[in-house]
Amino acid sequence: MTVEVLLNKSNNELQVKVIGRFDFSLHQDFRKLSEQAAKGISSISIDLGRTEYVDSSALGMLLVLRDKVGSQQSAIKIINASPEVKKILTIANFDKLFTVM
Amino acid sequence: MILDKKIQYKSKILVADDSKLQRILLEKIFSQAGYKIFVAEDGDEALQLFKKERPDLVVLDILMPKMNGIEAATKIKKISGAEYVPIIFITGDSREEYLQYCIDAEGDDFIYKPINELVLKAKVNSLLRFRQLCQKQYSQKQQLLEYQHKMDQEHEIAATLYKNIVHAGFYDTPEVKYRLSPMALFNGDIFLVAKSPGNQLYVLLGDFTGHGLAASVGAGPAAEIFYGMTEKGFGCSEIIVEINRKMHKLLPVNMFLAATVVVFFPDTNSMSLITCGLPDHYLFNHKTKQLQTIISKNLPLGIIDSFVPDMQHMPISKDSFLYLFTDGVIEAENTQGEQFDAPSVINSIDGDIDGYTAVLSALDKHTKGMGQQDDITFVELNCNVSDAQWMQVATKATHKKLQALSWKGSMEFQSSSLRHANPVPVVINLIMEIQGLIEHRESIFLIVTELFANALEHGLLELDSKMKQSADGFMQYYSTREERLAQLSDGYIKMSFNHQPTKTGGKLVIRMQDSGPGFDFSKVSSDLKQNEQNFGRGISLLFNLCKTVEYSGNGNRVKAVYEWTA
Repeated sequence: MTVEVLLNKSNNELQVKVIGRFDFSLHQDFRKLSEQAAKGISSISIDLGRTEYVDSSALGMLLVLRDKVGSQQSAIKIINASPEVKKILTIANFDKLFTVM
Repeated sequence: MILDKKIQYKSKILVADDSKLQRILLEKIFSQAGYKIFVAEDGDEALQLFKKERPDLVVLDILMPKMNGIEAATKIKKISGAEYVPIIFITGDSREEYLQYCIDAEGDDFIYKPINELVLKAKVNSLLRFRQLCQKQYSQKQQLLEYQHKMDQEHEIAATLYKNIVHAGFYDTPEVKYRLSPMALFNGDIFLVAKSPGNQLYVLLGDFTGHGLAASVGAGPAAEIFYGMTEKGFGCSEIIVEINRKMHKLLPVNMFLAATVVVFFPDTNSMSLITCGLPDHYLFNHKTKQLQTIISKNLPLGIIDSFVPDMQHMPISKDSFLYLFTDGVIEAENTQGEQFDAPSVINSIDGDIDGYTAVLSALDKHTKGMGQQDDITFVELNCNVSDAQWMQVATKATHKKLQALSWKGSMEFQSSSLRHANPVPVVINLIMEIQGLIEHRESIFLIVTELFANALEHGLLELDSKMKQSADGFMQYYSTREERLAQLSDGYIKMSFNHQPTKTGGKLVIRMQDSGPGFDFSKVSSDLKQNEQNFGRGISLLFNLCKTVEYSGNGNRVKAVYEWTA
């Protein structure tokens, strides 16, 4: 379980890649990330292409990010999610809060 | 690691040797090195001194009168118990069987006569250092045990509180079967059942995010709102809106409550569901073997401050069962780490034995050997409402017998007030104040809500309900609704209520009129018969609840008649 973070300086977008299980063990990484996000980041793209599993505490972490970046649906993009991961996001109706692509 | 000097000077060493010369020598070595020393002449004396002084390390000669070193060592180790007290044997004999005795007596080291001072000091130093480590670990372990004990106690208190709050209003009936594991509380699962004054059954299954006590702090307030509002006859959408509002205020950003509320209406053999983030529910007819999947349509509760819940209303058959569960069921792992997934649940439901027993025994089989996986809440609701036991027992009347009154009133809401608030709850409360139709509150609320929503969304805002048929359209529908409502600059909605007594009870005539362009209402009834989908669930619900529903004007006026019997 790792998180890779890259800042795209041209559009001030934070690019986050979650590899492996996205669960409570990434708590500290996301705490750091949300501190970073609070400092003038305009948008975040979260790549779940290599994420095996998302649990409810991961959903909570996404909500914290949303709280920091702003609640417009466009502020956080979730990309490349597998059908299984997408199903979890859909059950929670998170497509109403985030742009799921 | 360097031995803490202070500890070295404080360290107490017990020496036992029957030779006076040896005793003088050892005493000199240890005193000069800064240890506090106690001297015994035989094993028996050594044991007494050990009990009295509790030294940190013991040096024993093996051959001594009264009690030899081996026996004394065994007894000292026994007294020390979990505390580590190193023992060094002094021996003049280096034969292996001799050394074996020392090992059997749990000796830690040997030193041969004649004693080499330097070697002895090195051994004592290293053993005391080891003892220091052991003591540190021992006290940490004690501390952890104490914490655990405290936590167990707190869990017990929390469990009692939880039981008192959540189960205080719990309505137990054989038509509601559930397994709620005792530890589920700490995974934040809640399950609530209550009956409304109108004899409808209300069920709430919820799952807070996260684990531990933090996850269950919201349980109390949620249960209080659920039981309180059900008792007063509020509808499920009002209850959900209120719980959501409370959770949003109470919970930190990363926490929410995934939940579903189900209401069974025996009068119309139907049910309403508001699904907010729980895994799919299954409605299974064991006669026709038809399985209907009910998906989550709303965000979990506590994430956004206010929302208009999307309610699903559907007929139920007496041969059907509704299955609800939290994600613990489909995520339960077997020894291979495989999850008990949704297809396993469906396969078990669709079997020869009853679904509830089948699912739970399949689940138990799946998780066998995994120890306690205590995060499972599984619920089966029997949809045979007309024969249900909960139906036969009338809700205790807490209010006076109804007497139908004759009254009427009308209200007009201009665009400026429509932009800011939904007037329906206030209007319903007013009707309840005047007429006290608490058993009929839910029905009247649904009728007025539907009429009002139609007048606002299709009349004033001119939204097309066909938009709602796809998932994308659904979102678009609500965002367009919000946009247009914010920009609404003129228009009005008029409602009027006329209540008259009848021979058997009373009749409430609700009229609603909007300033919108209207629609071709001649198609409503014929289309409704052909395809309910075109008009959405709203209108079919209206026709279900009301004696008559008539459109007039250019489709912007509607009259609904609701009758009740005392």
